[in-house]
Amino acid sequence: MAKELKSAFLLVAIVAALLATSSPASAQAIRPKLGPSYVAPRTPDGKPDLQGIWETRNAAAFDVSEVAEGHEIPYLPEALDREQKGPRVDPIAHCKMPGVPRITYMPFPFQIMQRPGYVVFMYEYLHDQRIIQTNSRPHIDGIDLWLGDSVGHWEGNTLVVDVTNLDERSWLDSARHTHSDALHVVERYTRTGPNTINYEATIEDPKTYTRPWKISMPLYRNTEPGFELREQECTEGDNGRPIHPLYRPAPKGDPLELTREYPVKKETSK
Amino acid sequence: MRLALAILVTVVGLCLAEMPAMAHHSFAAEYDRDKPVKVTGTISKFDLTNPHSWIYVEVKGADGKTATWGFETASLIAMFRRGFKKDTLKAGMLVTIEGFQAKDGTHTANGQKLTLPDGKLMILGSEESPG
Repeated sequence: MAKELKSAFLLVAIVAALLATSSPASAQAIRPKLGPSYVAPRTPDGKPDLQGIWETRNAAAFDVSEVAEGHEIPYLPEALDREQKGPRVDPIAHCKMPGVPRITYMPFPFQIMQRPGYVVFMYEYLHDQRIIQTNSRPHIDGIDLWLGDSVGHWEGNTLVVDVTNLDERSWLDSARHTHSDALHVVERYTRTGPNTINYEATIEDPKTYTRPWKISMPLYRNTEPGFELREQECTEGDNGRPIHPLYRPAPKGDPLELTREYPVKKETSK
Repeated sequence: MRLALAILVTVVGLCLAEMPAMAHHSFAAEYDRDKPVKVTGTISKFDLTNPHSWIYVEVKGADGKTATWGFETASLIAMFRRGFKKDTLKAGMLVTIEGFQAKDGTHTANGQKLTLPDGKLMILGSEESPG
């Protein structure tokens, strides 16, 4: 009897073990292989197909430390000091372009289109665009631009975009995380599934941070039938005032303090 | 045939009529083609910015007094394509600059040409397409 019981237990144990080992395999058979090993479909010129309308679902636009590795931004003390003494109004409140990487995680969709030799990013936000050559050309020299100078290349399944010449006036988020004109951003776009891209950016700025730091987030495909990018304009109807409230008002008496009474432009007949 | 010709003439006429407006906004409203100016002085500020860049020059007048002249030029990217970088003009640099003065008679002008200390001529704008 004891022997029978023993063999029954053994049988149950074997069956349980078999079930346990076989379940991941069966799940994998149903789901396509996702994650870093996912192999994206290819465009006619053999590059990973990143095309489509994408969007983030996080709060990075408000505070980028949310998506930073270790939730930490490694500031140099002098950079923090500079930031404290710097402008207090988010540049986007005056319709400035958001800069890179902020443009990616603004809460608006963007569309990626590919052609042999370049990748086009069309952003609904302020109808910004980045036409990125994938030829690893040298960066331009001597000027700074709000969205910088982007140069791309392909590394296996990943589009790598190297960005320099970024205007020092842009912020990384509404929480006034700033940078200098030495900002260097390396973005990596890797498909991880039919409707997801992993977005990663390494942020380097020796005048602001003690070391390069990294942010990452998924980009989700907008799968709404018939969804199209539309117009997200900034200037109309603002009567010259900042369009967003001040996120962090300057201390009283600060020369950077703005009055909340904005002159309203009068319509003049011509 | 006659109708086609009439349409062609009208279209060409409209295009020509549009041209001064297309040259650049605000030139005709603000600047006077009959008031060319040429000054030599030291750079006090160079704003390489959008929509238009500005070059400020300290100019010593015949009376010995120094006046600040502001020259309006082209957009950041147009200036870049004409050879300018953000450090092309530095404070204290001695330059000669030509343009058309503002109608209001202030020390403001639309920039056309600039000569760098090494003698290199930089184009800021042209009469057809002012800076």
